[in-house]
Amino acid sequence: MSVEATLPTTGGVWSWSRAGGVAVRDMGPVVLALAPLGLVVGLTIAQTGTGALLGIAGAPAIYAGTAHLSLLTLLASGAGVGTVVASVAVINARLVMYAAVLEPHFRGQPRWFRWLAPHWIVEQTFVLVTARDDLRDATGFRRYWTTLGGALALTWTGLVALGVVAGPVLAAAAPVLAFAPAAVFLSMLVPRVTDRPGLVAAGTAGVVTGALTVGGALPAGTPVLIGAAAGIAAAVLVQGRAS
Amino acid sequence: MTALIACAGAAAVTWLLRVLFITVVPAGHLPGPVRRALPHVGPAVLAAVIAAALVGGPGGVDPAFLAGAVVTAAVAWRRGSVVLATACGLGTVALLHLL
Repeated sequence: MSVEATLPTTGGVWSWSRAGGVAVRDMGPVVLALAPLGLVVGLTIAQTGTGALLGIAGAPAIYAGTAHLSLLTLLASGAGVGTVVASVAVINARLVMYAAVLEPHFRGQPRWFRWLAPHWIVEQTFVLVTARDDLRDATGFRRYWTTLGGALALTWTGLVALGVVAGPVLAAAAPVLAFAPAAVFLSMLVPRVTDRPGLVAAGTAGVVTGALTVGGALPAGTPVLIGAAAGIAAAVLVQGRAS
Repeated sequence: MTALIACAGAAAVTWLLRVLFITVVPAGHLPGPVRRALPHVGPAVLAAVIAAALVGGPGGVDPAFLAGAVVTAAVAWRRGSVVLATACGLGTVALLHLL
């Protein structure tokens, strides 16, 4: 799930058409994970009266579904700007960890890319990039990441807009569709947990997060942060003993 | 106006979180122990996100989701296909909701 500190170039530089084709093919399964959440966010925009234009514009601007959903429900409940922004910061704090893992891919990139392109970091793009071992060339990565992030943002925005207009029609399937994100992430995670530290990291994080979530005493997003930290710490301990 | 400012603030804080360890303080400059922990970030965070999605629904823990997760994990482990594993998991949840 990680890349080395230095990324030697292997093979030829990917053209835009090759990088774009690979990115679009890769994103197919993860759209399954985006679809239910996008529709629910759209439905919530319609129900809370946030304003369709502002709500839909927030989709590519925030580019994080759970945080967007939290923002909408908090605004509807009368929460102030400070509360909303603090809540979004807690829910999205996990993105800091994804960014740290992906950072070697951004070294040696143009300044504009290092400041703007991290905007595309989210579960789906993180999983897809860390699953590939052929993105070591800086130009190829830049083209792949730009296409992947842009295409996913367009898809995400379209799904949210669809949810605004057609959400009530799709509401009957919502209980089943709500399982889709977990299913997609699980099917991507399982084949990649191939060693003991990885298994310990995933198992500990899952159990701790599950227990804290069921307990219900913590704000949204916090169980994930605590669970992930516990999983990482457990894996470091296991690895330390092995070596 | 409150909604507009909140959206702008949420977008800004999320962007800051994303650039923090890439552009502001590149992860390569972090202390050694932190860098050695990075390979475990992926499995840990994804498992945490999955667990929260499985048991954090508005109606509490849905047994159909837990059964669907078992089926999804088993198919993913045996076949390694994201689409097949997801379809089997969703099918399980749909079937259990119909029963």
